[in-house]
Amino acid sequence: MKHILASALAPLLFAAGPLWALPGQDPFPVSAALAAPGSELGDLEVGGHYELEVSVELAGEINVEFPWSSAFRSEGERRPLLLIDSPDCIRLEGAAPDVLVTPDDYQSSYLHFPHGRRMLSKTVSVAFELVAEPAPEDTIGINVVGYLGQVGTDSRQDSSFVRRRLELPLTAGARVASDGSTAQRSSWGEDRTLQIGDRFPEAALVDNTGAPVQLSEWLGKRDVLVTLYRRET
Amino acid sequence: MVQLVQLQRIYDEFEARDTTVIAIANEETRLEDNAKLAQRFRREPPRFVNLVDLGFSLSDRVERTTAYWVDEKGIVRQVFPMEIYSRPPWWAILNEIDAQRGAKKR
Repeated sequence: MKHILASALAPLLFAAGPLWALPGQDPFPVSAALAAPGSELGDLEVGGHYELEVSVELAGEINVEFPWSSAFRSEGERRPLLLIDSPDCIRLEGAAPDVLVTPDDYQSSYLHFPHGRRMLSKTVSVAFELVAEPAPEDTIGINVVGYLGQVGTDSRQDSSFVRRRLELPLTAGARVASDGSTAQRSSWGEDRTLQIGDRFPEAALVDNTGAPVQLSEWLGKRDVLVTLYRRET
Repeated sequence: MVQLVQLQRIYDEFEARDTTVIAIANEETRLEDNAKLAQRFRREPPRFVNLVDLGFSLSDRVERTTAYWVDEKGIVRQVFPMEIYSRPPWWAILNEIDAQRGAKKR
Protein backbone atom coordinates (compact mmCIF):
# COMPACT_ATOMS: atom_id res chain seq x y z
CA MET A 1 0.00 0.00 0.00
CA LYS A 2 2.74 2.40 0.95
CA HIS A 3 4.49 1.77 -2.38
CA ILE A 4 1.32 2.59 -4.24
CA LEU A 5 0.93 5.71 -2.18
CA ALA A 6 4.49 6.78 -2.91
CA SER A 7 4.00 6.24 -6.63
CA ALA A 8 0.80 8.21 -6.59
CA LEU A 9 2.41 11.10 -4.76
CA ALA A 10 5.48 11.38 -6.96
CA PRO A 11 3.88 13.34 -9.81
CA LEU A 12 2.36 15.73 -7.31
CA LEU A 13 5.73 16.34 -5.73
CA PHE A 14 7.34 16.86 -9.09
CA ALA A 15 4.73 19.49 -9.83
CA ALA A 16 5.71 21.27 -6.62
CA GLY A 17 9.17 22.08 -7.90
CA PRO A 18 11.93 21.01 -10.21
CA LEU A 19 14.25 19.70 -7.52
CA TRP A 20 12.83 16.25 -7.07
CA ALA A 21 14.77 13.52 -8.70
CA LEU A 22 12.27 11.07 -10.08
CA PRO A 23 13.14 7.63 -11.40
CA GLY A 24 15.23 8.04 -14.49
CA GLN A 25 16.62 11.37 -13.42
CA ASP A 26 20.15 11.92 -12.21
CA PRO A 27 20.03 11.48 -8.42
CA PHE A 28 23.17 13.51 -8.00
CA PRO A 29 23.07 16.50 -10.31
CA VAL A 30 26.01 18.84 -10.04
CA SER A 31 26.30 22.11 -11.90
CA ALA A 32 28.78 24.96 -12.03
CA ALA A 33 28.79 28.50 -13.33
CA LEU A 34 30.89 31.64 -13.25
CA ALA A 35 29.67 34.81 -11.57
CA ALA A 36 30.92 38.26 -10.80
CA PRO A 37 30.35 39.36 -7.20
CA GLY A 38 27.75 42.09 -7.05
CA SER A 39 27.35 42.61 -10.77
CA GLU A 40 26.54 41.02 -14.11
CA LEU A 41 29.30 38.87 -15.44
CA GLY A 42 30.78 40.36 -18.56
CA ASP A 43 33.88 39.28 -20.43
CA LEU A 44 36.58 38.03 -18.09
CA GLU A 45 39.51 40.37 -17.67
CA VAL A 46 42.95 39.70 -16.30
CA GLY A 47 43.09 41.10 -12.76
CA GLY A 48 39.33 40.68 -12.33
CA HIS A 49 37.77 38.97 -9.34
CA TYR A 50 35.15 36.32 -10.02
CA GLU A 51 33.32 33.50 -8.36
CA LEU A 52 32.92 29.89 -9.22
CA GLU A 53 29.53 28.61 -8.09
CA VAL A 54 29.14 24.89 -7.63
CA SER A 55 25.70 23.45 -6.88
CA VAL A 56 24.50 20.01 -6.02
CA GLU A 57 21.02 18.70 -5.53
CA LEU A 58 20.48 15.57 -3.56
CA ALA A 59 17.11 14.07 -4.06
CA GLY A 60 15.35 10.85 -4.67
CA GLU A 61 16.44 9.11 -1.51
CA ILE A 62 13.34 7.20 -0.67
CA ASN A 63 12.96 5.42 2.60
CA VAL A 64 10.76 2.62 1.38
CA GLU A 65 11.09 0.36 4.38
CA PHE A 66 10.42 2.94 7.04
CA PRO A 67 8.28 5.51 5.31
CA TRP A 68 7.07 7.09 8.49
CA SER A 69 10.43 7.42 10.12
CA SER A 70 12.06 10.78 10.45
CA ALA A 71 15.23 9.39 11.98
CA PHE A 72 17.61 9.85 9.12
CA ARG A 73 20.94 8.17 9.48
CA SER A 74 24.48 8.34 8.33
CA GLU A 75 24.58 11.84 7.00
CA GLY A 76 28.32 11.76 7.36
CA GLU A 77 28.91 9.30 4.60
CA ARG A 78 26.75 11.29 2.26
CA ARG A 79 28.67 14.51 2.48
CA PRO A 80 29.75 15.16 -1.06
CA LEU A 81 33.42 16.03 -1.21
CA LEU A 82 34.66 18.69 -3.57
CA LEU A 83 37.99 19.07 -5.30
CA ILE A 84 38.71 21.93 -7.68
CA ASP A 85 41.39 21.69 -10.34
CA SER A 86 42.30 25.26 -11.15
CA PRO A 87 44.29 26.17 -14.25
CA ASP A 88 47.42 28.32 -13.90
CA CYS A 89 45.59 31.39 -15.15
CA ILE A 90 43.46 31.66 -12.02
CA ARG A 91 44.33 32.05 -8.37
CA LEU A 92 41.85 30.88 -5.80
CA GLU A 93 41.26 33.46 -3.11
CA GLY A 94 41.25 31.70 0.21
CA ALA A 95 41.02 28.00 0.83
CA ALA A 96 38.75 26.17 -1.53
CA PRO A 97 36.04 24.21 0.29
CA ASP A 98 36.62 20.49 0.27
CA VAL A 99 33.18 19.50 1.49
CA LEU A 100 30.26 20.52 -0.64
CA VAL A 101 27.57 19.86 1.92
CA THR A 102 28.00 20.13 5.68
CA PRO A 103 25.98 18.48 8.46
CA ASP A 104 24.36 21.83 9.18
CA ASP A 105 23.05 21.93 5.65
CA TYR A 106 21.50 18.55 6.13
CA GLN A 107 19.86 19.59 9.36
CA SER A 108 18.33 22.67 7.87
CA SER A 109 17.48 21.36 4.45
CA TYR A 110 15.72 18.11 5.11
CA LEU A 111 12.16 18.00 4.14
CA HIS A 112 10.34 15.19 5.83
CA PHE A 113 7.53 13.86 3.76
CA PRO A 114 5.38 10.93 4.70
CA HIS A 115 6.99 8.63 2.17
CA GLY A 116 10.49 9.67 3.16
CA ARG A 117 11.56 11.49 0.04
CA ARG A 118 13.85 14.33 0.85
CA MET A 119 15.60 17.12 -0.87
CA LEU A 120 18.72 19.12 -0.50
CA SER A 121 20.13 21.80 -2.67
CA LYS A 122 23.39 23.52 -1.92
CA THR A 123 25.61 26.02 -3.66
CA VAL A 124 29.11 26.99 -2.65
CA SER A 125 30.99 29.96 -4.04
CA VAL A 126 34.71 29.98 -4.57
CA ALA A 127 36.33 33.36 -5.19
CA PHE A 128 39.18 33.59 -7.65
CA GLU A 129 41.24 36.15 -9.51
CA LEU A 130 42.06 35.82 -13.16
CA VAL A 131 45.82 36.32 -13.14
CA ALA A 132 46.59 35.62 -16.80
CA GLU A 133 44.81 35.45 -20.11
CA PRO A 134 43.21 32.00 -20.27
CA ALA A 135 44.07 29.73 -23.16
CA PRO A 136 41.03 28.48 -25.07
CA GLU A 137 41.48 25.02 -23.63
CA ASP A 138 41.74 26.25 -20.02
CA THR A 139 38.92 25.02 -17.82
CA ILE A 140 38.21 24.81 -14.12
CA GLY A 141 37.83 21.15 -13.17
CA ILE A 142 35.08 20.52 -10.63
CA ASN A 143 35.20 17.11 -9.00
CA VAL A 144 32.58 15.85 -6.61
CA VAL A 145 32.20 12.46 -5.02
CA GLY A 146 29.51 11.27 -2.70
CA TYR A 147 28.05 8.15 -1.22
CA LEU A 148 24.34 7.97 -1.76
CA GLY A 149 21.94 5.52 -0.31
CA GLN A 150 18.59 4.72 1.01
CA VAL A 151 17.80 6.08 4.39
CA GLY A 152 16.41 4.14 7.25
CA THR A 153 18.25 0.88 6.76
CA ASP A 154 21.08 -0.37 8.88
CA SER A 155 22.88 -2.26 6.20
CA ARG A 156 22.89 0.50 3.60
CA GLN A 157 23.25 -2.22 1.02
CA ASP A 158 21.79 0.03 -1.61
CA SER A 159 24.35 2.76 -1.18
CA SER A 160 26.44 3.67 -4.14
CA PHE A 161 29.56 5.61 -4.94
CA VAL A 162 28.87 8.52 -7.26
CA ARG A 163 31.34 10.87 -8.80
CA ARG A 164 31.06 13.72 -11.18
CA ARG A 165 33.58 15.80 -13.04
CA LEU A 166 32.72 19.01 -14.82
CA GLU A 167 34.94 21.18 -16.99
CA LEU A 168 33.90 24.80 -16.81
CA PRO A 169 35.29 27.05 -19.56
CA LEU A 170 36.55 30.47 -18.52
CA THR A 171 34.13 32.46 -20.59
CA ALA A 172 31.30 34.79 -19.70
CA GLY A 173 28.04 32.91 -19.26
CA ALA A 174 29.75 29.58 -18.96
CA ARG A 175 27.59 27.01 -17.20
CA VAL A 176 27.98 23.28 -17.10
CA ALA A 177 25.86 20.55 -15.57
CA SER A 178 26.34 16.86 -15.05
CA ASP A 179 24.36 14.52 -17.24
CA GLY A 180 24.26 11.56 -14.88
CA SER A 181 27.40 9.98 -16.25
CA THR A 182 30.16 8.91 -13.91
CA ALA A 183 33.11 10.81 -15.30
CA GLN A 184 35.65 11.32 -12.61
CA ARG A 185 39.01 12.60 -11.63
CA SER A 186 41.39 9.67 -11.74
CA SER A 187 42.76 10.49 -8.32
CA TRP A 188 41.90 12.60 -5.33
CA GLY A 189 44.44 14.97 -3.89
CA GLU A 190 47.77 16.19 -5.17
CA ASP A 191 49.00 15.16 -8.58
CA ARG A 192 51.59 12.82 -7.17
CA THR A 193 48.99 10.66 -5.44
CA LEU A 194 47.97 7.35 -6.90
CA GLN A 195 45.68 7.50 -9.86
CA ILE A 196 43.39 4.98 -11.45
CA GLY A 197 45.60 2.87 -13.69
CA ASP A 198 48.72 3.27 -11.54
CA ARG A 199 50.44 0.28 -10.02
CA PHE A 200 50.05 0.31 -6.25
CA PRO A 201 53.57 0.72 -4.86
CA GLU A 202 55.42 -1.62 -2.59
CA ALA A 203 56.04 -0.11 0.82
CA ALA A 204 57.99 -0.86 3.96
CA LEU A 205 55.27 -1.73 6.45
CA VAL A 206 55.07 -3.71 9.65
CA ASP A 207 52.36 -5.78 11.24
CA ASN A 208 51.17 -5.32 14.81
CA THR A 209 54.08 -7.32 16.18
CA GLY A 210 56.57 -5.12 14.37
CA ALA A 211 57.47 -7.77 11.80
CA PRO A 212 58.17 -6.37 8.34
CA VAL A 213 55.50 -7.12 5.76
CA GLN A 214 55.60 -6.82 2.00
CA LEU A 215 52.41 -5.69 0.31
CA SER A 216 53.37 -8.00 -2.55
CA GLU A 217 52.13 -10.80 -0.34
CA TRP A 218 48.70 -9.75 -1.59
CA LEU A 219 49.20 -7.22 -4.38
CA GLY A 220 49.23 -8.71 -7.83
CA LYS A 221 47.72 -11.92 -6.59
CA ARG A 222 44.16 -11.03 -5.78
CA ASP A 223 41.91 -8.01 -5.51
CA VAL A 224 42.79 -5.81 -2.58
CA LEU A 225 41.14 -2.84 -0.97
CA VAL A 226 43.81 -0.73 0.69
CA THR A 227 42.28 1.64 3.19
CA LEU A 228 44.23 4.24 5.12
CA TYR A 229 43.05 5.13 8.59
CA ARG A 230 44.00 7.79 11.04
CA ARG A 231 44.60 7.70 14.72
CA GLU A 232 41.49 7.80 16.85
CA THR A 233 41.37 10.96 18.89
CA MET B 1 38.88 3.46 13.67
CA VAL B 2 35.14 3.09 14.01
CA GLN B 3 35.33 2.42 10.28
CA LEU B 4 37.25 -0.75 10.99
CA VAL B 5 34.73 -1.99 13.53
CA GLN B 6 32.07 -1.69 10.86
CA LEU B 7 34.38 -3.35 8.36
CA GLN B 8 34.80 -6.32 10.65
CA ARG B 9 31.02 -6.74 10.77
CA ILE B 10 30.61 -7.02 7.04
CA TYR B 11 33.91 -8.65 6.18
CA ASP B 12 32.08 -11.69 4.80
CA GLU B 13 30.99 -9.50 1.93
CA PHE B 14 34.58 -8.75 0.94
CA GLU B 15 35.51 -12.41 1.27
CA ALA B 16 32.60 -13.32 -0.95
CA ARG B 17 34.19 -11.06 -3.55
CA ASP B 18 37.66 -12.60 -3.11
CA THR B 19 38.91 -9.24 -1.95
CA THR B 20 41.37 -8.76 0.89
CA VAL B 21 41.10 -5.54 2.84
CA ILE B 22 44.39 -4.11 4.06
CA ALA B 23 43.93 -1.36 6.64
CA ILE B 24 47.07 0.71 7.05
CA ALA B 25 47.64 3.06 9.97
CA ASN B 26 49.51 5.96 8.47
CA GLU B 27 49.80 8.45 11.29
CA GLU B 28 51.77 6.42 13.80
CA THR B 29 55.45 6.74 14.48
CA ARG B 30 55.54 4.00 17.12
CA LEU B 31 53.97 0.57 16.98
CA GLU B 32 52.46 1.10 20.43
CA ASP B 33 50.34 3.89 19.05
CA ASN B 34 48.34 1.35 17.13
CA ALA B 35 47.51 -0.51 20.36
CA LYS B 36 44.07 1.07 20.55
CA LEU B 37 43.10 -0.98 17.58
CA ALA B 38 44.22 -4.19 19.22
CA GLN B 39 42.14 -3.22 22.24
CA ARG B 40 39.08 -2.75 20.09
CA PHE B 41 39.55 -6.17 18.58
CA ARG B 42 40.57 -8.10 21.68
CA ARG B 43 37.50 -10.32 21.54
CA GLU B 44 37.76 -11.18 17.88
CA PRO B 45 41.00 -10.51 16.01
CA PRO B 46 40.65 -8.34 12.92
CA ARG B 47 39.63 -10.29 9.86
CA PHE B 48 41.21 -7.66 7.66
CA VAL B 49 44.97 -7.28 7.37
CA ASN B 50 46.21 -4.57 9.72
CA LEU B 51 49.56 -2.95 8.96
CA VAL B 52 51.37 0.13 10.16
CA ASP B 53 53.34 2.53 7.96
CA LEU B 54 55.81 3.71 10.59
CA GLY B 55 58.21 5.19 8.08
CA PHE B 56 55.48 7.03 6.13
CA SER B 57 56.73 5.23 3.05
CA LEU B 58 53.35 5.58 1.35
CA SER B 59 52.55 9.08 2.49
CA ASP B 60 53.54 10.88 -0.69
CA ARG B 61 51.46 8.54 -2.86
CA VAL B 62 48.23 8.20 -0.92
CA GLU B 63 45.71 10.52 0.61
CA ARG B 64 45.33 10.01 4.31
CA THR B 65 41.75 8.86 4.48
CA THR B 66 41.24 7.24 1.13
CA ALA B 67 40.59 3.69 0.05
CA TYR B 68 42.10 2.24 -3.10
CA TRP B 69 40.66 -0.74 -4.88
CA VAL B 70 43.53 -2.60 -6.52
CA ASP B 71 42.88 -5.42 -8.97
CA GLU B 72 44.62 -8.79 -9.11
CA LYS B 73 47.30 -7.32 -11.37
CA GLY B 74 48.18 -4.72 -8.75
CA ILE B 75 46.61 -1.83 -10.68
CA VAL B 76 44.47 0.80 -8.96
CA ARG B 77 40.94 0.46 -10.31
CA GLN B 78 39.10 2.98 -8.14
CA VAL B 79 39.89 5.69 -5.63
CA PHE B 80 37.40 6.27 -2.81
CA PRO B 81 37.98 9.55 -0.99
CA MET B 82 36.51 9.58 2.47
CA GLU B 83 36.09 12.00 5.26
CA ILE B 84 38.03 11.43 8.40
CA TYR B 85 35.21 10.90 10.81
CA SER B 86 32.39 9.93 8.52
CA ARG B 87 30.61 6.65 8.71
CA PRO B 88 32.27 4.13 6.46
CA PRO B 89 30.90 3.68 2.96
CA TRP B 90 31.75 -0.01 2.82
CA TRP B 91 28.57 -0.98 1.04
CA ALA B 92 29.03 1.72 -1.54
CA ILE B 93 32.52 0.36 -2.16
CA LEU B 94 31.24 -3.20 -2.44
CA ASN B 95 28.57 -2.10 -4.88
CA GLU B 96 31.14 -0.20 -6.94
CA ILE B 97 33.34 -3.30 -7.12
CA ASP B 98 30.33 -5.33 -8.27
CA ALA B 99 29.39 -2.70 -10.83
CA GLN B 100 32.90 -2.53 -12.31
CA ARG B 101 33.24 -6.28 -12.43
CA GLY B 102 29.85 -6.54 -14.08
CA ALA B 103 30.90 -4.00 -16.69
CA LYS B 104 34.13 -5.91 -17.32
CA LYS B 105 32.23 -9.15 -17.93
CA ARG B 106 29.98 -7.51 -20.47
